[in-house]
Amino acid sequence: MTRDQFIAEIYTLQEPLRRFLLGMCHGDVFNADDIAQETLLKAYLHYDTFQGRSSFSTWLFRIGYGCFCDHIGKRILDTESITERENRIPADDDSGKDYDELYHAINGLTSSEKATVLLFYIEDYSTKEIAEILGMASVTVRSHLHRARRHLKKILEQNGER
Amino acid sequence: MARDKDIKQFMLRHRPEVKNSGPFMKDVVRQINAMPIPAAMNPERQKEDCIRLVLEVSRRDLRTVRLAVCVIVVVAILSAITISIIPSDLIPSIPTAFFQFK
Repeated sequence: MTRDQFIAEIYTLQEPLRRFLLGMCHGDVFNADDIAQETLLKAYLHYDTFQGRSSFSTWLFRIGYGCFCDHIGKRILDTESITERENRIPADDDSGKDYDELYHAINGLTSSEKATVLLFYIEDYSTKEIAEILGMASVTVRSHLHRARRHLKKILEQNGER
Repeated sequence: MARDKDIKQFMLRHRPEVKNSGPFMKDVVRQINAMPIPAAMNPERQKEDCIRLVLEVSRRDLRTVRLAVCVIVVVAILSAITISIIPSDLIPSIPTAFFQFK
């Protein structure tokens, strides 16, 4: 793959990647785009390590999830207060508010459960591919999915969604 | 009771919309262009690697052939010497006759 082919490839994959990271970051567009950018640059610089055993998109999402985990780790260590973080999201950016129901629904899940749900239902990945992306066994992914389904069903029933 | 299909519909209905793909990709491409090309993406580098590999293999083969030729030559010389000595040892009348003739 040449540099131009790589750029063409990420042109098509950036949208699902950014959507997934947006869901993981609960609608924080700045954080999600920061992580997405870091992911794409990391993928470019470490393209030599792509062995083609999985699809390119799976490999890219795996890097993206890794970057997200690094980011979460950094944020925990960060001294930045919650109010500061809230202020950073501009008031005129209502992208987070549009999807409040989704973020509320997945709020009670752990990071890996959230990732499983977003990848399975929104990005249409199989449990095997999700296992590769999250670096865990297929059985674990299925158990995450089972728990997340139970949680989401409860939320949908509370909201009267059908 | 909500079914799996309902969950999928709910998720798709509420999936976040990604905006500003153009400026985002423009920035990513600008940064990529400022970075060095990784070896796996550099066709010139790949070509050089292939040439180096072919030269290495041909050099190794040449070394093997040279060694084989040397062994064959040595064996041939030794065989020639042995063949020239054996008849005189096996048929003693030849040197005797030779000396008588002299």
